[in-house]
Formats: sequence, structure tokens, C-alpha cells
Amino acid sequence: MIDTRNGFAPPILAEGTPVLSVRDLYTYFRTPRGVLQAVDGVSFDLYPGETFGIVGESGSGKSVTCRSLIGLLPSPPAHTTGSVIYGGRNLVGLPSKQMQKIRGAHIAMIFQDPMTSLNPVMRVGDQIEEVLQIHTPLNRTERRNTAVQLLKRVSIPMAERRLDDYPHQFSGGMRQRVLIAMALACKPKILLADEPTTALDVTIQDQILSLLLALQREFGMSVILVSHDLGVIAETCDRVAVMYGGQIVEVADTRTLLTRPKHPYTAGLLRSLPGQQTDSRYLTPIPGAPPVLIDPPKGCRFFDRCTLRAEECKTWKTELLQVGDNHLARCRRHEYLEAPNE
Amino acid sequence: MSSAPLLEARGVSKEFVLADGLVRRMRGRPAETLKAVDDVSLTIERGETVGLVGESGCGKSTFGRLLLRLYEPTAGQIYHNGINILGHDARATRELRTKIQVVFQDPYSSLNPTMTVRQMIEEVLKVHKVCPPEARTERVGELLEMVGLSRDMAARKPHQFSGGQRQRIGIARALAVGPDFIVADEAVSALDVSVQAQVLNLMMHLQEDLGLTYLFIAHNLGVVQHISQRVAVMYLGKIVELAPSTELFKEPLHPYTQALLRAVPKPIPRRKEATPALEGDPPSPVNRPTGCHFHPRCPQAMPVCREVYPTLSTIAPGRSVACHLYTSAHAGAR
Repeated sequence: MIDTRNGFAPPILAEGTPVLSVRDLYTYFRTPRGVLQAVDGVSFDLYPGETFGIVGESGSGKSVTCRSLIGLLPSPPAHTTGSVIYGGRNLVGLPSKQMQKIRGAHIAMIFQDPMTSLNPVMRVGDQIEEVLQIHTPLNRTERRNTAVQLLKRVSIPMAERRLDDYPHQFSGGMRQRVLIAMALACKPKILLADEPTTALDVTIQDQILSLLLALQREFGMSVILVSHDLGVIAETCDRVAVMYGGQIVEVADTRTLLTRPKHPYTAGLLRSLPGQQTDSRYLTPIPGAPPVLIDPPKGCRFFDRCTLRAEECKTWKTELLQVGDNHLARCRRHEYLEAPNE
Repeated sequence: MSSAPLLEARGVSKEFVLADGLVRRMRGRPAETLKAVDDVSLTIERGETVGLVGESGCGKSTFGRLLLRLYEPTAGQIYHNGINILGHDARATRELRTKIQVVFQDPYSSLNPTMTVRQMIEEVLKVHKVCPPEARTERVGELLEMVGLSRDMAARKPHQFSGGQRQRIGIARALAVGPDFIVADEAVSALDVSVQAQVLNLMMHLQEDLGLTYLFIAHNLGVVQHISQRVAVMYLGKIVELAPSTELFKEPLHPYTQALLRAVPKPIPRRKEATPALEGDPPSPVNRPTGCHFHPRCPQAMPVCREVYPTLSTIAPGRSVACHLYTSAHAGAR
């Protein structure tokens, strides 16, 4: 399974064989201004029962990665290559009929915006039952009962009555609970959560994350959690990949990543977070802006903004380097990096 | 300059009418209203940054808009430099608008996509008559440099800028008329953290250089903690706690503030607690709970909380809280 070309060794920390194995995933979009390489050679493994975080800023390719895994991007304009191995099959290029059997039943997804992910003119109960109708042999009464159980499990009060309500009759937090209930309807092996709490207030975000973690333990799912918020990632994930400019620039277990990052971008992100105890009134931002992914720079994508850069970085054909136990970083000068809080 | 505070709101309220009409009145039903801001008093001193936090729908943005006179308050008074700004004629209001400015959240929709940066800023200068025509080009360049952009960017349109740069343009436009007070309504919320830190630094530098005063409205508590000297916490239209930033974040008093701070995910390695900090949704501002608005979600609610709204009272220098736990009559119940 080791892809030597990318120097990618699967971490030993996580146990068992991966449930999902992603290798050299590339997704590009044809745009009028040129080819936009949104995902540029992403490889990682997802292990049973773990929560794998993907963190990055807007345009880093984290959401596109997530969607590419289960073929949710319309083609054209999107074009995906590489391999996403699930249950011995490559999901990339799988015929859509077969993909539909996997989506929902084996790999489910929840999105950022709970309002646009629900059908506004269909009762919530019918939407949950529809999932069950497609993927399970249950009859009508059984489906109804399962739907009630699901709503109860995601702590929606008066579940029996609320089945007949429409999405607009639910608050934002409650809608996200409904979506989680739908995602769990077929007890999937993997849950993809793309910024599931970004649109919610912090107290509601807190509730939803608690619920997700409880359900994960109960169902024994693996979760891929995509977020721009290092706080959310820190509190929920076992391992984290940091994405920048369409590439993974660092992978490590959460504690290592937060305390001893080895990529200057990760360190810069941690330093620029407000609300930390520092002597100065001013924050330490990362200068500049992320690269445009149409004709990206040849060498290191972070070159323009990097404090450690050397001339060779400009032309270095970047790769993930082993920088510690189960710790990879796409930086050839990682030894010069100081920990962010030193 | 007078010794009066730069800005003072006294008992300001804003009600929005949701449903009213002939049929409703003939049936003898009163208009259905939403009290977005309810009897809020807040004093902001010159050169200070006051943070205003709370969940969506708590009325924090409405309060900011009342200070800008984008809405007229239903009750209460607002003073700028000791002068009552309500009830002025159109001309005085326009003059006032040169003193109180706003930076909005969304740098994508708050800039006109068909205008160049120069046109946008010159328009402001023209409308407010703050700069003679021949000096406008120079002034635009100066403003752009002030916010860390270059002069030659004046010819570009908004789509040619990144999110952070657009927010800088929004700030330059606000500064064009020489305000002393700026309402920053979620001004950095749409930005990525690495860029957000750049814009926050810029705002702090500008504050020092130009002696600006900020009301910083945000839902991101980390950002507010960093930039503010004092912080007000709002819940359902009312300020429930007001304290110096360092003290509020070290020792929050109101059970709502405590829950809010506990709910914020922190970028330190620790496992999330299994039980959420706060259960339930915020109640609807149309149908507000009796007594303390927070009592249905409050883990420490007492019988009195269901009956009486606790007034915002000063319990230590600079610290006020609206909670029965801290008023003498019920303090024994803690």
C-alpha cells in the first residue's frame, strides 16, 4: 500500500487496515481562465473508528477533496483521477448507478448549510424515509418507526410530531440534527462532514459536535471532518491533515500537530489565532494571500508567504517528508522551524 | 473637545412590527412585534474598543445600526460627544455620518462590483463634501496607503482583490470622511485566520494613529477578546454582562457568558467534553420567556428567575451583570 513516489507511509498509530485509502487524488476544473488544479495529489488513509480532520483556509481544496471521494462533483467541469479504495474497489470512475449504492449506505455526507441540503417542500419524515426506502428492504411502517428512532437519537424533542414538519419549521441546529439523522439512517461505515457546524452559533456548534462524537462511538464509524477552524479540529479529531493550495502540507496526530508543527504554514496558522496569551497587542499574521490555483507556482506553494524560505524552495519538487513518528510535512527546511509558542 | 463620553446610549430600544393590519386591528389584536433591542445603555469612551458579543438574533447588529441611525430607535437616547443625535434634521444627520462610520462583514457584497475603488471612495468624498475636487485623487491614494494597499490599485474593481484586500477597501471608504467612531459589524468574520490577523492588526494600528473608537460586533469570542478593552454580552436584546475584556474571559459571571466561553472550541489538544455547555436553542425574540430570558436554558435557574427580570447592576468597579445570583437578596441561594 505504500506509495513510494510520494514518500507516503501509512501511519502505524492507527490500528487495523484502512477503511478508506486515498492515493494521488487529483481534481481539476476547466475554467475560462485556464485549468484550476483544486486537489493536487492528495493521499491519506482513514482507519476504522477514527476521526480524521482536514483543515485549511478557503480555496485550499479541502471541500473539493471531500466531494471528490464520493464523486459528488459534476463532470464536466470537474475531472478527478487517482484512487479512492473502499472495500477493495476504486470509487474514482465508478459508474453512477454503483456509486449511488455506496453513497448513503456506506459513505454518508453532511454539509455546511442545513437549509439548502434539505428539500424545503418535503416533510422531514418523508425525507428520512426516502433514504431508507432506497437503501433498505424495510416496509412502510418499519421505515416510519426507524425515522422516529433516528430523530429521537439526535435529540429532537417530540420526534413523532416533528416528522410531519417542514424544514423551515426547524432552527438551524435542529436542521443539522435532521441531516445527521438522515446520514445515519443506513448506519454508514464512513461519515464525511464538510464544515458541519460553520453556519451555527457556538453553543449550537458545541451541541452538534458532542452529538457527532457520541454517535461515532455508538455506530463505530470513521469520520472525515473538514473545517477551517483549528479549534473544532483540535477538540474532535484523532489525526489531522493540513491543506494548502490543493495539497496536503502536513499530517500528524492532533496533539503533535498543535504543539510541534513541522510546516511553516501550520505554525503560522497557530500563531495568527487571536485569543492567545501574548505580550504584544498585535497578532502575528501570515503575510500575503493564498496562491491562485490556475498555473500555481512550480516549487513550494507557500514560498511567497514563508519565513523559512530559501532560494531552492522555489524550484523544489515538493513532497511529504517523514519528519517524525507518523508525522509528514511538505517542507525541506522543517528543522529550522520553531514551535509557535516559543 | 468636551469631557462627555464619545458615545452614549441611554435606554435604547428597537421594536420591529411583524404583523399588523386592518383585519388584525378589527379583531382587536395588537400588532405583533419583535423587540430586537430592549432598553440597552452603553457608554463608550474616546479611543476605546468595546466588543459586543452574542448569538445570532441577540440584537447586536441592530444595536450597531441604531448608533449609525440606519434604524430609528423606538425608545431611548443616543449621544455623540454629549450631543443628542436623534431628532436632528437631514443636514445635521449627514454631518454626523462623517463622524460615525461602519465596516460591514461581507467584503463581497458591500462594495459595488461595477465601480473602481477610486470611484467608490471619491463618491463618498463628494457626497459628504469633505474634500475639494482637485484634491480627491491625492486623498484616495493616501487612504489606500493608510490601509496597506498601493496607490495604483485605485483603478481596479472589487473582483480583482482578495477578501482581505476588499475588507481593507471597506475600511478605507469608512475612513474617507474622517470619522472618530467606527461600528465594525463582524468586520473580520468572513476572512480566513491568517488574513483576519492582518486586518485586525491594521484596525489596531489605525486606532492608535487616528485616535479612533470602535464598537466591535462579532460572534467570534477570540477576536473580541483580542481587540477589545471592554466586552458587553447580549442575550435576546439585553446586555447581560459588561466587563473589562481580561476579567470577562478570566472569570465570566453570568451563567450565559460562562456557557458561551465553554462552548468555544480551543486549538489546544484536549478531548471535547461529552455534554454540551448549553442545551436547547435560543428562544424566539417574538415570544420571550418571562422573568430572566435565559432561565429556560440556565443550569442555575431559581424560582425568582422565572418571575423577575434581573436588572443589570454593578457588582464591582467596571463589572455589571444581570443575574439574580449576584444580587444581595438571592446571593444566599448560590
